[in-house]
Amino acid sequence: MKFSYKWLKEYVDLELTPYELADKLTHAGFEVEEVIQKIPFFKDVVIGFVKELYKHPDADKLSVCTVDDGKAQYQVICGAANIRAGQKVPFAKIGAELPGDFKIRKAKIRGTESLGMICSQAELGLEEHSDGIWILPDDTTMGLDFYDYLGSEQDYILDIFITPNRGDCMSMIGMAREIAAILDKQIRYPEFVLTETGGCTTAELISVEVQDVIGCPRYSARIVRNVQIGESPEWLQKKLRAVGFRPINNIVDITNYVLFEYGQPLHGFDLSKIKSKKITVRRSLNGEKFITLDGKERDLPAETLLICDTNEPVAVAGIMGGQNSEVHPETTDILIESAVFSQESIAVAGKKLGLSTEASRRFERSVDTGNTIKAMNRAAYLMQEIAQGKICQGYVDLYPQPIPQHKIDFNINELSRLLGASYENELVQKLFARLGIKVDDQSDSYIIPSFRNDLKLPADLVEEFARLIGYSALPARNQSTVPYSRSDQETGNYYSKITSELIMFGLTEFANTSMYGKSELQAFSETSLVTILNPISDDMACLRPSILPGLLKSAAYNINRGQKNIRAFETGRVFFPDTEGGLPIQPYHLGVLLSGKRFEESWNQPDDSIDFFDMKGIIEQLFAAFKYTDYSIKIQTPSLIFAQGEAVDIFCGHGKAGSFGKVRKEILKIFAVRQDVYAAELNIEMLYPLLTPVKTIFISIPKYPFIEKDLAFVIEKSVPSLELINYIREIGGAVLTGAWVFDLYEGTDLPENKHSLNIRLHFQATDRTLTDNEIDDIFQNIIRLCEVKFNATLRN
Amino acid sequence: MLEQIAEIKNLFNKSLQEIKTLPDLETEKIRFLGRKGLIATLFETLGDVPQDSRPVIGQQINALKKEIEIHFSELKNKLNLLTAGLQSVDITLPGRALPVGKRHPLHQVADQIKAIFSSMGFEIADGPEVETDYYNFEALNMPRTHPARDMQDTLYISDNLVLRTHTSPVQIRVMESRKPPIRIIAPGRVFRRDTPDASHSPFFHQSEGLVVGEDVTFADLKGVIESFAAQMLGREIKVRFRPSFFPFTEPSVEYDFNCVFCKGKGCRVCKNTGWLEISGAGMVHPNVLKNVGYDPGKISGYAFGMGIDRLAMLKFNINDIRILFENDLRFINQF
Ligand SMILES: [Zn+2]
Repeated sequence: MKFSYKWLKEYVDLELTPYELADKLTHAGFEVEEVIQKIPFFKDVVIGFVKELYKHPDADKLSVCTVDDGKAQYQVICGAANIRAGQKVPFAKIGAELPGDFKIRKAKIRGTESLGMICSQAELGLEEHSDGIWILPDDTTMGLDFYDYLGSEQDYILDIFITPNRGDCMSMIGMAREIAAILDKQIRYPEFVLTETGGCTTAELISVEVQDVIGCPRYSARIVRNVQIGESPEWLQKKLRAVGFRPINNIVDITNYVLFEYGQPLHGFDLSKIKSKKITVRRSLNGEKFITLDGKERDLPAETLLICDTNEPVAVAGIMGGQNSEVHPETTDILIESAVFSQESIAVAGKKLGLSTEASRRFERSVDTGNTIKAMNRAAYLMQEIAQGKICQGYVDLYPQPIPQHKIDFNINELSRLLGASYENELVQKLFARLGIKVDDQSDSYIIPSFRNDLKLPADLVEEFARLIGYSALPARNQSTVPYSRSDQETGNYYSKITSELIMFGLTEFANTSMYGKSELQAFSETSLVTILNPISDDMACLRPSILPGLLKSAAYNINRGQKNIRAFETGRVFFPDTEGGLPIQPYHLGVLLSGKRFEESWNQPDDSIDFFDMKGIIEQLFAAFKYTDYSIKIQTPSLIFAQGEAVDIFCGHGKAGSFGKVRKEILKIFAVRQDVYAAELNIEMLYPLLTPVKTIFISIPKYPFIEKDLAFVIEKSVPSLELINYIREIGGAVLTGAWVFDLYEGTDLPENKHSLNIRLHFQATDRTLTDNEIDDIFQNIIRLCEVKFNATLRN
Repeated sequence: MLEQIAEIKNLFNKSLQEIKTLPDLETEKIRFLGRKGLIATLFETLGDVPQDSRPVIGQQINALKKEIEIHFSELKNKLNLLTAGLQSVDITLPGRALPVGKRHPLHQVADQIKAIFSSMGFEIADGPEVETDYYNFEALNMPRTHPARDMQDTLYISDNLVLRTHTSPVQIRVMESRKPPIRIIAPGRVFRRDTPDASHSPFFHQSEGLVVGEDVTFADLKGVIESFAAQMLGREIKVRFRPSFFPFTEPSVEYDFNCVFCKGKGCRVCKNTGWLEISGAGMVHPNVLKNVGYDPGKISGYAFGMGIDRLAMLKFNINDIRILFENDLRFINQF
């Protein structure tokens, strides 16, 4: 919210500069986001007198002027249409410096010399845009320095962030009151005297009925007759403009002015439009419609608080007035409404209507119920002074259940308990007194002023105290009394181990959004997607059920920029809807993506493309890192993601923990990826109990050497090699410590449906050196049994 | 004569130092041992030496000659070894590259945060990213019509489910599930209804911190934040605490670090204030303690937040948050 430094000074004496004040406020919980100097600095601009002028001989729109600054006369070219001889004007001399780093130099314009510039308000930084030069009053003194001349006009706008709990500071008086408390000064409230010359009482002209006392705890109203609608005086317009408000007419300006001054939203009705002479405050019924001040017809949400002319709505309470009762140029009698509406009713209605106004923003943060009469009278007084209004006697004030004085039981030990330092009672009371918080002599409590309805608990008073002595004055402690936490949850370590293993395998970690368009995700979800009710855009409307869409997007991004070799992974939560409508299921998944060449192009590396076995190797290595072997990899039933033939599922424990394989062309197309991609996805949350590292126990290294034997079986391609190896292991028994395929040969010398699997065997005993004889039996047995079982033949 | 012998010996020692290649060696060999070499010249002048000292001097010349021969032959072996095979590899060709993986810079910073707090005895906690309205707002003292809800533009899944707008719901989940003392941080992803631009992303990352127990004070909060700042960004970093407002803390604080770009002198990044806003913190609000069944009269605690993306941007001088999530390899490989 914007505050005028000059305006604030009317209520509190300020010796501090606006910048020093801003710093104080920031340290007291009112963050000053910006201090704007109203008149930016300029120099060597004086008040000049346009002595005479004639048209430029070579340019219709330019005038050649003689400007007198009291000491000398200068020939100046001016392009403004509103320049006339005899005017007093701001005149920038040669060498003048104007805002925006603009220096005035001697110039020749269309062959005629110009020694300076006659300035507009915009050129002096006072307006965004000006039509023509700034014409000064005739009685200004020629030759005066113009920056000094404007000195009394100088102001600073403090843009202050008011936290939602401090609605009481959304006004000049509220902020001045706070500043007085912070700086230990006295506040000056405005003083004025009403003269009730309206000829009758307010109560004779209007009656008020409040049907919902919770929604409208207080309704005060007063009538001012015979006002003359017109423009507001200069001082009022200036003040409103300073805080960012556009003047409209004197009556509207006055209600806005009082809103800014007191923080009490007011509404001025044209009394003649309240035909029944009765104001009713009620909740809206289903299906009611209403045209607000801005000319829009609105469907009123049920239960919206309305101000009615008996039954006909004339305003949406606390939010916006209606077109039907608006003050217009012919209005003579004004009904000033000064009411308080509940924080809740305005917040709900404002949200439903999509309306946020100066009034509603204040009611949402709650308004002081003790302030309606003062603010109303202030407005009536100003209508009397400015709009020649005649104030009716007395007012209407419905306040059936006055809000009781609020007290907080407060033990001074709360300060040491929460702040870690103790303070003298005397100091505490002194600081509280500055905030208007007084000791209750009868009890151990403090009386809270009505405008501070944010203060409810002892902790709130602790903050008030801390705020006033300053957070920097509070102690810091480095030895906590809370013991170091037990770390029985190892999931964090588990996830970081997965990550660090993958990085060791040469994979780079990606971080992608969780939100995608429906079309990007559909294929990845077997069930429905978790969708956002109010998405930022359609392409951020659904939550990912898989890590792969993000990886594919990032792959496309890199490939399009010439980075075609990608080894990437990402971990994060994915989302599946809960069938009962509860929290979605949101496990951590790991996604891996490989694409391009296995190695960066180099003279000494093979030029191979990544294939299925690169991905399989990563998955196997990952499990190996956790010493986990109890998993199986099986051919996948056809899926939308992976290409048939190069797609597998990973089964662990009781179920499927993930899949990997070659990504289908149709999927690549969605993400505009134009090269082969292998991907894997694992539910790492499900794997957690299985992969939890078991305690490592040292196993002694075999003392006796192993014997190595090689075998080459010509075997049908359809026989899975793992079956053969497992069978060999079975036959080999305890002394066969290793068996693996070390080469695979396909060639024209072999039948088309067969290949040669070359298998290496290691035999080793823990208690002796094995002899060739011992092994030979086993070895021959292996050959014989495999030949039978797999229809394999030994290759020479 | 003896001086001459000594001089040649010196010359030879110097020569030994300077020989670097086989051709050098050959030249020097001729200079010393050649038919008209220095040793030969010495032998020639032997005739000028008095008869009786001739055998002794002759012996000395012979000894020198022998020594030179031995040294040259050793040197020749050495040079032969050194030069052997030199021509067989072009050592200027690049080496065989290993695939190198990188931790995403954001997670590097998260790791650092976790390490720092772990060293201060904090445990890592976690919570769901889609939360109930209760955990994200209500339990944190933000009923439906609370104006503070406007400070956080929320993405809704249903009337009752939201994408969590902060990591604070983890506070509630942890406190509900156990008794004090508690000492946790909870890093994770959060969401806001912000259109992406250089300083906004609809999802970003925070870490919550929470310490609850008896005799936990604002002084502890200050101590922990100051200690974290020093470990994260260096001892010279100053921390500033300002009063603020959050519905779930009282007293509430906003904490700033002094600008890492201008060292607090004032620059464009810190809008000439010399300070950079980091995040909010405060003493856990009594209503929050009550909501989880603690006695606010006995138990107290502090909570704090921090923006992980923001710290990463500060640390690495990144000026556009969006680049963090583009996953351009040229970006990630820088860290
Ligand atoms: Zn700076």
